[in-house]
Amino acid sequence: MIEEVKYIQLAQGVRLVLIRSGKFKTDLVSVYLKRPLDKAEATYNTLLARVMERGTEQYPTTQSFNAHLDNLYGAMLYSDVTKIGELHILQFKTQLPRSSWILDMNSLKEAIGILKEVIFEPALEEGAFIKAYVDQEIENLKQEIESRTNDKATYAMDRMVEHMCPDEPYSAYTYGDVSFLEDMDAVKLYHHYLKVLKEAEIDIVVFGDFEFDKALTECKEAFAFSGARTSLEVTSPWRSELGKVKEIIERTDVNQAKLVIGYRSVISGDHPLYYPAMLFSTVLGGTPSSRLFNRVREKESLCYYIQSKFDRFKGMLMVMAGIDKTSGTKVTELTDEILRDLIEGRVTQEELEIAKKSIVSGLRSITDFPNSYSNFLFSQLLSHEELDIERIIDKVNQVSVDQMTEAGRTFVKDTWYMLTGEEDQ
Amino acid sequence: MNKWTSYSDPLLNETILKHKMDCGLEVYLLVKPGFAKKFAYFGTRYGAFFNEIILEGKRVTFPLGAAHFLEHKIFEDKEKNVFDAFSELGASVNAYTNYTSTVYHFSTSENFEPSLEKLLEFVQRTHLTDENVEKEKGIILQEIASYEDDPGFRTLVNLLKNLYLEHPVREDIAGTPESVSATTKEELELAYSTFYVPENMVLFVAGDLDPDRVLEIVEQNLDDAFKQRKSQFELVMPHEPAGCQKERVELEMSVPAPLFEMAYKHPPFPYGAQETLKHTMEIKVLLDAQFGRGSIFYNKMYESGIFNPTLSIDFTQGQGYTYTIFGGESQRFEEAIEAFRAEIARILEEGPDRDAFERIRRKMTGKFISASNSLQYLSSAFMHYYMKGHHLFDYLKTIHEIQVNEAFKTFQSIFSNPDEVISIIKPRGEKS
Repeated sequence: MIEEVKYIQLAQGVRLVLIRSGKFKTDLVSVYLKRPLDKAEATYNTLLARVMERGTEQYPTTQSFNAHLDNLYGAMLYSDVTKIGELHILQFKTQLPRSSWILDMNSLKEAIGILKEVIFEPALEEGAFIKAYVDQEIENLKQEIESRTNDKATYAMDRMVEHMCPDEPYSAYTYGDVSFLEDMDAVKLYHHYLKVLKEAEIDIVVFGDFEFDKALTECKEAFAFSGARTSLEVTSPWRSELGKVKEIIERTDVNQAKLVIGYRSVISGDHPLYYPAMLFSTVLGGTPSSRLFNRVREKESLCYYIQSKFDRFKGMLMVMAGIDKTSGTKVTELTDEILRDLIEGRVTQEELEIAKKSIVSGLRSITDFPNSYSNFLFSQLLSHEELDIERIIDKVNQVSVDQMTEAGRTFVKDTWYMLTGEEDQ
Repeated sequence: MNKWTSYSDPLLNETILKHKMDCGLEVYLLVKPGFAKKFAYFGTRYGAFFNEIILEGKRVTFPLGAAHFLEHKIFEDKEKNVFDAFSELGASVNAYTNYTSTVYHFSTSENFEPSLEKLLEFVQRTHLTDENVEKEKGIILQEIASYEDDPGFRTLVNLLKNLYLEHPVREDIAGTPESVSATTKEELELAYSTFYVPENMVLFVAGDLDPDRVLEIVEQNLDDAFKQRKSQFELVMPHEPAGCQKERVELEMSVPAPLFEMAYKHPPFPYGAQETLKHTMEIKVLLDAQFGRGSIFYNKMYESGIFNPTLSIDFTQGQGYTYTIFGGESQRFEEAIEAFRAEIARILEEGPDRDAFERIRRKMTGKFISASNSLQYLSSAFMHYYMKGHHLFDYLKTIHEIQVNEAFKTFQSIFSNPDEVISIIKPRGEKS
């Protein structure tokens, strides 16, 4: 079942992607607003996402708005932010079921309608957002940001990035920083909203079973964005002192230590070695057959999890593991040894093939999930990359062992970080 | 071909086929044209509750966490690491153990047939040695240690430990460091030969597949030794008396704000019975109607700052246990608990919100249809309901059938005078 995709420029800086597919039981509409990344933006956008889902002009109370969504057969409304490379993305999505027996609802029209209300017709009072909503969401967001320490694995990764890139926008936490909430209020947030609406580049992705002309007309009517929009780049320039490896130990009361090692590479976005770098990371720690998993977990029983992750927008590789507090040195040595082996070309064709299959399998299944496919197209558009999945698969399959090790050689260890217990334990 | 029995859900617009093999293994299949990924789940009705059984007339006990330990060890193969074998095929394999089942599953967009063969093969065989059992202990102890640092997990563990006096729901699925360290090869072998028998197992397959070809592969890849494996066992569940261990349990951790969970312990519903699914859905719909984000109560509490987005209510039922949990992260948890209790009392006295009940019925119907976009969701939901003695297709039917009046009767019967426990994780240094 092949999806039919159309790309339409709605206005300057406003792009519409229509994906028609009969494979699913829902219609999904996603609106992505691109913002620059820094701590203030991250904080304000997150607060905006929380406040905008509280109500609309037509359903100003949160209770009535949520009840309205329930009545539309549990319409999903997603209002949140995400960090992609050095951009902060504010996104709004709705998904409604479409079934031959749900006759009292035009799901695509309703989905577009909900987003239109949320984005253009928020609940207001005295020319600003409703004060009570903003105050409540400020409190909730403060708690949410402070509670990020509860998930130790994710927290350790974020902390490593903060130490590795202290002066780069990339180190901003997705949900921002509490200090920027101190003097925030309903009026200031409303001004931020107007600015975002006017300046942000916008991508809209509609995924469903519809007639193109009808969907296009609905979208043109609903998403009448206007204004001159600022173009932003997702990939960041190469930055590194390339000096000594930073070594940081932070302590808290944990039973298990989290080790995170960060590496930098010049490879990001449309670099010719981009696919080889992706494969390098997969061979290293991307699957349960990877070098790290096999050696550190299966052979040495030193951890429950160990894996690596390559951020293609930032050109950053991360190795992370949950280990015993006494195993830091041992796991680091093993990781160094494994990396050295890979960089020096001690990789089998078989390992490369396994990594390729894992990536290809992931790519093929993107079209099985409307949300994954929408996000995939958005992020490919963001970095001006190939949109055709089969062509990406070809590129992955063409990578040789030599190219992979060549990509591997570009990775330079930058920061070694461990979140562990008190010293005398 | 009449090998298959077919079940359809007109609302969901899906069909599931069933075939029972001569050896007793049940095979289920969901055909989905146009999907790239295919899924297979091979499971046994053996989970963390199976600590004591009567086996051929004799009482046998297993160490806590044995089912989970065995799950780890099933991945050990003589020739080749199981993970590697699947990776080479482009498939990804995993497993989970819960209270009543252990399930091995893979997904792949290519090489489905050899992957299915591999799944059948590795679950049908074990390769246990004293050395590899010993080696696994380090990995499982790290797994347990990582849960220990999760405050949400700790809140729940403390809650269940005190809500129940005897029932094994009070124990962690992975067991304790002591029980894991003491587990022997012989105990795992006995668990394997007792519970990994065709009559006790199920295979579920989903994707763009030819049913008869699937059956052929299954038939060709079941070993004679496996097909002939039989066992007669009876699970011994301890009698759970009324009452709780402790009404309030507090622990300090380095958390920024208190985490809490309060639970009501209800009388259990008969496990696997049709009426149990019905009563479960009645309570779920009713609780969402009264306490969900579209409810008047929730919004009143949210606007007063007593509730926040982390707070939620969940109703859970399983073999020999039924409870409702209300919890989240909040500085004002005492007020939240007080308000929750008062609202339960008010509903008992004044009756349910009938309009809201209908609204939630619509919502849950739509949510289920939306979720079923994902073949992965359908597959894991199928296994979830199957292991509880229900069929995936009973879900929408039951949602459609339940009535507010009966739901309220069920609510009254389980919420009048239940035992209650509160579990709190407080920021270190804060004393109450």
